[in-house]
Amino acid sequence: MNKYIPVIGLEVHIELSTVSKMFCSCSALHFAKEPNTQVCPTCLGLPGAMPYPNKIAIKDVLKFGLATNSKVNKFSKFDRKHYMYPDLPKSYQISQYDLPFCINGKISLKSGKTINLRRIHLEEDTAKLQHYEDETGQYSLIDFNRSGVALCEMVTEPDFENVDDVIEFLKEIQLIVRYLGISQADMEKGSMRLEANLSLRPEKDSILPDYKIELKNINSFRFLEKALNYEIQRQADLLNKGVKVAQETRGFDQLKNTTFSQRIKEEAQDYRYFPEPDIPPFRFEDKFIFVIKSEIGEMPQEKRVRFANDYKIPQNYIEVLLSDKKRSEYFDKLAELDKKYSIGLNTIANLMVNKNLDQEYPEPELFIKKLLEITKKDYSTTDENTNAVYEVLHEFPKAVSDYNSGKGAVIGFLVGMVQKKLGGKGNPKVITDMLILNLKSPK
Amino acid sequence: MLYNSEDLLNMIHLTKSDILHLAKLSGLTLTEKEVKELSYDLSSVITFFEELKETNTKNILPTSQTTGLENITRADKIDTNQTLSLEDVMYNANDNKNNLFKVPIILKK
Ligand SMILES: [Zn+2]
Repeated sequence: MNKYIPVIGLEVHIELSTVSKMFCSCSALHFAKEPNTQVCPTCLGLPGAMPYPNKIAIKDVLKFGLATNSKVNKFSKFDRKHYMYPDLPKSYQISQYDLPFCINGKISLKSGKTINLRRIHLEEDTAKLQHYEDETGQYSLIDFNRSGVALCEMVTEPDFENVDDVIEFLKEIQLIVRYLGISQADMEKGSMRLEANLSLRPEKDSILPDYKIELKNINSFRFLEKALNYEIQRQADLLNKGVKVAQETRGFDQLKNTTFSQRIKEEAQDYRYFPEPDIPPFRFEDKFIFVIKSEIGEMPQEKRVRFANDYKIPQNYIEVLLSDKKRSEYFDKLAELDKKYSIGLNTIANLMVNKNLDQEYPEPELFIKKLLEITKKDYSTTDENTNAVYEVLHEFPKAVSDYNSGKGAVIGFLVGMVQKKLGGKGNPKVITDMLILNLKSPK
Repeated sequence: MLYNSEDLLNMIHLTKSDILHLAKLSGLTLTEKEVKELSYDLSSVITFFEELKETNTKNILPTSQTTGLENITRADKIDTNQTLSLEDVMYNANDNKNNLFKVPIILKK
């Protein structure tokens, strides 16, 4: 039995959340809309209709590229990619061929491994097909609301050698896209779509295999994980039997947890790309790129590092908080407020992660208020505090006079003495405030 | 179209499989007779284009554009005036069901 190393590359399609479509002014919000109500001659592919590129979609792709350490092609253009399919009535898709907007990106995984991004380009989405069978026979139905929606495609190099890295990478890409606010990247709604190509090479052999299997139409990270694991086993079994793995496209059967051949004829794909004559090319000035770069906020990886350094909360808490940009921002606000209340960031993070307390309190201030109430019963009462402070101030006149002559550090000693009287049950913040108030205006 | 023997000698020859490949890409079904005719006709068209090779393009940069325009974009706004009515959308459709275009099955399971 030979040992094999998987060689995996990914293609990720991201539907951009622009208001209008890529090359026409129809609404791009197509989810659950009445069929064919958001279409015009351009996105229906009628003869003579002219494409007019959406500036925000282009900026979004450049932003995505810059956020993934890609290089922007300063001269770029659209091309026509030809193929016959009913979801594409003009028989070509406006896409990008040799000059995509972004190339050579890089994403680092937690292990330190780098995944190289070959390209990120922009294209138009196709119409949505549904296949049916009833007493009239088999047929397909087409809705063009999705046709022409801005679609960004990212292609990686075949740098992945295990399935965990694939999933970690994809989750990070999803997070980056959501942080940038360029797409919902929702796989159930189809605004993020995954394709993987996979082959195996013998462990002792570094040459790339002479075949690859494409896994298509997979709509969740979990299914992709299962499909890849199944394929790795299937291909290893074939190779061990000395059988050549047939190059083909395979889908994933969610019920059987297996992959199956989609028997799409692998006749040499011949897209006959040529430059889109109806759209002038693009030339991006350094300044334009600089401005876009400056619009990119804190990316997940930067936030991950900052949360670890500044808040010192456990890694698993950080990941949960990070996975939702709004939640991580909410935590930032709580951390700021807690400077005043000293509840402790671990306690706060715990209540968010394990009790979802933030869902009940949209305002961070109310969250803290609630938290103070919850934790209050553990603290000594105001009467107990007043008595303890009064006693300490009278028992340690030296410390009081030291404080009044400017030795501010002595406050720590006094807080400690009060806590001793309270059996450690005092709220440090409350006691400190009470001491300072009384020291300034001694009774 | 008639060819003399010299034309035929100098002509580029598209094979039957070239024609069938092109037909497939174009979604056309051809009869044997059409394949034969098309291989002659298309071969002669391509041969005609061969003449372009005689043009001196030594100092000419490739271009796909003639207007000299660059960076032509529009604002990301919806213009419902462009939107077609369902009646117009379906005007040329052979068949439709619930306002969806109905076509013969594409993916056979
Ligand atoms: Zn349109």
